[in-house]
Amino acid sequence: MKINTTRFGEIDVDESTFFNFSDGLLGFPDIHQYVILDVEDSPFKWMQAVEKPEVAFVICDPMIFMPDYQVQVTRHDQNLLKLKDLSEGVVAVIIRIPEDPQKMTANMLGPIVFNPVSRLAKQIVLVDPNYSTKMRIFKDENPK
Amino acid sequence: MLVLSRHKDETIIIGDNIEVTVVDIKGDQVRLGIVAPRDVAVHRKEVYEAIQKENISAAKLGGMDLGKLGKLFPNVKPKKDSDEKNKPEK
Repeated sequence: MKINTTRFGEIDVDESTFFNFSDGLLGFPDIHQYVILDVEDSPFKWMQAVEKPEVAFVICDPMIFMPDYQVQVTRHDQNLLKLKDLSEGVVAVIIRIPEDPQKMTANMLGPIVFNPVSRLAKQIVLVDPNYSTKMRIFKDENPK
Repeated sequence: MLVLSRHKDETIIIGDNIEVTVVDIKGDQVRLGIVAPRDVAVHRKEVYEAIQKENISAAKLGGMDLGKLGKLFPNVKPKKDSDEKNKPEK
């Protein structure tokens, strides 16, 4: 299926790889379908809205920079995502990249949990006070 | 908006199974105790709003060479997902 995107032009994607967000993302409640676009030789991926050419997020596996990161998925969300076992879920966080990429941040408070089998996904709100929406991925080279 | 007055240790019930109790009042701060079924998420509204704001800013990123940015992680060899085959043309 061909979809239109602002950043990549018209691209051909396999409909069976779409992910369905029944609640949308916070701030984007009306966008329900996204497709993940791989980037060669990079831990980053694009998560492109299928219906909205201009909406795309950079996502990343948080374990790469925070191996002890933990996402608490409630029973309710587990059922909603049709996850038979929590270990089947795939977690990604949304990355924000400013002009200086060394200052990129990750939204650790609102991770996305994907079920690759049911193709359902949801942005989860964590209660952990140790996580923030703007965690610096790289430590400051010259800390104050 | 429905506005109810409650004293300390008094409770309101929402629906059949959500209870909100005023546990303590100190100056302009009120401590609330909440009893709700496990499938009801209870969050401070600021957290929701912070994530919403962060999502909206994150969606404004222009197209960029993420392959190049991947090199910022010198020790990471990205996994090859056999599952996800989509790639932007460029």
